[in-house]
Amino acid sequence: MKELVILSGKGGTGKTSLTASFASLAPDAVLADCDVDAANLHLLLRPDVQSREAFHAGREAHVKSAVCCGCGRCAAACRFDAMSMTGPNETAEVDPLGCEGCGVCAFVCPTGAIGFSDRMAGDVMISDTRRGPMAHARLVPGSDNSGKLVAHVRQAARRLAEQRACTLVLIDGPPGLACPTMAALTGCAHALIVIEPTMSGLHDLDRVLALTGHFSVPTSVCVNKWDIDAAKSVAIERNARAAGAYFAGRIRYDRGVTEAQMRAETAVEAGVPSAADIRAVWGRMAERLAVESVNG
Amino acid sequence: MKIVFTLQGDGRDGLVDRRFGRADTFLIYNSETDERQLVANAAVDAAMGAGLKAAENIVALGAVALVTGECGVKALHALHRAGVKVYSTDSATFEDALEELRQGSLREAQPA
Repeated sequence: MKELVILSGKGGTGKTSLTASFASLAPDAVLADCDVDAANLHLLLRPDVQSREAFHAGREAHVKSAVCCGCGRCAAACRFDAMSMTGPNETAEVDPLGCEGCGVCAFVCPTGAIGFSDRMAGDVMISDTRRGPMAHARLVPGSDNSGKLVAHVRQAARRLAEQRACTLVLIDGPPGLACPTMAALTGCAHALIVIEPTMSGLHDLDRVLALTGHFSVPTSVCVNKWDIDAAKSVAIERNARAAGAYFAGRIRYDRGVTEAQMRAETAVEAGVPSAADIRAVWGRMAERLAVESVNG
Repeated sequence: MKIVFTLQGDGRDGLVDRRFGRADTFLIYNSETDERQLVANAAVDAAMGAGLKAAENIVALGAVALVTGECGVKALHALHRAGVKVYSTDSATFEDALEELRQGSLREAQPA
C-alpha cells in the first residue's frame, strides 16, 4: 500500500479539490483528510460515518471547590486569564476555552485543589463515500490540528486500506510546514505539491520542496490556475525541476470547479473544462506511483 | 554500544518504521552482546514536537547511533549536537538495516 500526500505550503491552492477529483479517478483508494483545522473533503464527498472514536489532546484544569481556599494565586499566575474567582463561595473557576493546560495553577495552589484531565479534542471518523472509504476528523471548537491528530487519521486510513485491500491512500495534507504537515509527510511514497502562480506560491514552493527533500520523499509539482500568470507558471516549473522534482502538469483556471463544488461535485464528476487537466496530472501520478487508474 | 532502530507496531515483526518522532517502537540493539530490547516510543502521542522529545529519549538511553527512515530537521540537529549518529535506511526490516549498518553502507544524515 502506498501513501500519496497532497501539500501546498499555504491554504486555498486547490489541495482538497484535487484530492477529491483524484478519488474519482483512483479505483481503490482510501482517502485521509489530514487538513483537520479546516476539514472540507467531507463537504464534497458527503461521508456516511461508520464509526467514530474520541480523540484526546492536551490537558485542562479542574478545581475541587471544596478544597479551594479562595486565595486567588492561580488567577494571578495564569497567563491565559483562564482562572477567575467566580466559583461557589468565590472559589476558582476554569474557563475551558482559555486553559492551555500548562499547570502553573496547580503549581502555585497552596491546598492542592487543582487537578488535570485529558482534554477531549474531537472525533476521528471512518466513513464510506461514493468515491471510497475515508478517514477524517472533526475538532471541537477551540481545539486545533496537531501532529498527533494527523498521525491518528493516517493510521486509521492505513488500517482501512489493509481491511479493504486498497493499494493507495490519498492524503489531503494540512497547509503550512509545521508539525501537522510533517506528520502527514513522513514515510509517504510520494508528495504532490499544488502551487498557484503567485509570488507567495513561488516562495512556498521552495519551502515545501526543502521539507520534502529533507525527508527524502519523491516529489511532484503541479500548477493550479496556471493561466492567471503564465510567466510565474514557467518559473514554478523551472524551479521545481531545478530542485529535482517531477513536473506533473498545469491545471487551467476554471470557474466551473467552484460551480461544481456548490453542487457538491468534484471537477472530474462534473466534467468541467479543467477536468481534462486534472486527469492528465492524475495519469502522470498514477504512472509514478505504479497504481491503477480509471477513466471514471 | 547501543544503537536504536525505529520499528512499526509493537516491533515484533521487525518492520522498520520510516518515521522517527512518531515511530511506534524503538529497538535498542547492543552491538557487544547482540541483545535486542523493544521499548514503546514515549513521544508518539505528543501533540507537538514529537521528534525533539524522541531525540531526548534516545540521548537518555545512551545510544551512540539511530537508524530510521528520515529524521526531522530539529531532531537531527539535537541528536547531532548530542553526538548521536543518525543513519537513514531504505530497508524494510530491522535485520536488513542491521546488515547494512555492519557493512557500513548506510547513509549518515547531516544537519543542513
